[in-house]
Amino acid sequence: MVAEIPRLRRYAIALMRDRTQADDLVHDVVLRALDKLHLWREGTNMRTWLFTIMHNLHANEMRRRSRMLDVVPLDAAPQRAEAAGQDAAVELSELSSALGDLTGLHRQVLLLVGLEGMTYAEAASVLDVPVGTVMSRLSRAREELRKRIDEGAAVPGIRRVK
Amino acid sequence: MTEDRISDSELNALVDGELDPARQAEIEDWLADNSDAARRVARYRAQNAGLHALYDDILHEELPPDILGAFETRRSGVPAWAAMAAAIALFVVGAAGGWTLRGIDADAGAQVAEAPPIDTQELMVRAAMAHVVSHEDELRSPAPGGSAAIGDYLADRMGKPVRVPSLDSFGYRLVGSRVLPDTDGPAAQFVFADETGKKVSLYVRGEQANGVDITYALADDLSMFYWNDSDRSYAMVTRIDDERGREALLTAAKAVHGQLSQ
Repeated sequence: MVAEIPRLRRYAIALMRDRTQADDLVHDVVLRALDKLHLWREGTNMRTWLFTIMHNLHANEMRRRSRMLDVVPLDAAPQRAEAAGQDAAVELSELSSALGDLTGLHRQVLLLVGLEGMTYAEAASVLDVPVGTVMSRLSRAREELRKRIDEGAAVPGIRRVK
Repeated sequence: MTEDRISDSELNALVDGELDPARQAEIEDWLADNSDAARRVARYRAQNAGLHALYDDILHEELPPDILGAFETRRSGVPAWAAMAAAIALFVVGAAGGWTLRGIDADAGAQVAEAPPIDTQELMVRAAMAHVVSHEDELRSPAPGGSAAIGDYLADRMGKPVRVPSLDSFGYRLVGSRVLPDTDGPAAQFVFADETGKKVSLYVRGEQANGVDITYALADDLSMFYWNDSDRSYAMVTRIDDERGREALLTAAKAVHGQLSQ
């Protein structure tokens, strides 16, 4: 379980875009997982199990607030400007900002598959939706992201390097 | 291929490696003549690469104390590390409960069933944690003074001589080392990597206990060999997914064991 915590944090920070809230969520996941250890079935995928716990806790929290989080793009992403070069840095910041504009449902599936590398079946299990739903959300999320990045590039002051 | 159009779902499935090889090859052929779709696929792949560029550094950060503390608060009165070890123990591969400890006699592969006298849980949890969060940026590099300089540095921090093991003959070079806080004074960690970046680490902590032969343990998906001498215990850790990898780690552990007991 300890070995999975860095991945849980990466996903939580990317999803919630707020390090404090993300670490609180991971903390709650660890507590819940320790409580529910007897329910974890040996031989099943622990990563998927932990992400499912995280998804459920996150969804409960969102329901409790009865709305999706207002997106506050804090300094969630490490600064890579020097290493990546200016053009790449602009593109990454566009991506980060476009990601924040996605709905929570789209962001979840994009991160589970695109960042965490889960199969469609694993993502469907974590989100408790059919595989077809994962595929349609993913397809919409990627198109949405692509359009928003292109629109962002059209805003004066941000020059997109072709 | 005569298809006019490939569905969005299939283009996505191509990006995500969800297609069978035959279909994947068909679509890749088709993309060669359909530049709009090919551009979209490239954009989706770039999105994935961008997500990794944005967030992968998080994987190498030290874990917040609150999260580690969660292992403690659930079991009041039990030290944090012991509770964490208990949590890991429940995930041990193939065990109904408790650690899977398979003693391996260094020569014959004979089974040694009894629990070793050293504090294996403490050793393994610390070694596993250190392994998981060991990023090159946080390690002291062996350059320019080589392993001798590392040895001097560690000896200075730990207050006694430290021998720096070599895994060169196994194709693993020393990436760096660091000193970590532990209950009985500072502990040392050495991190090695092979050409592909696969990582093996050695955790050395001060501990006076009865001797134990090189013993194999599994925790999560980490494999470890551990042993001890009169005043230190050692754990070699790596991620292993097959029997061959386990044998390779054992061979390396024996070599390090031999080097350190000279």
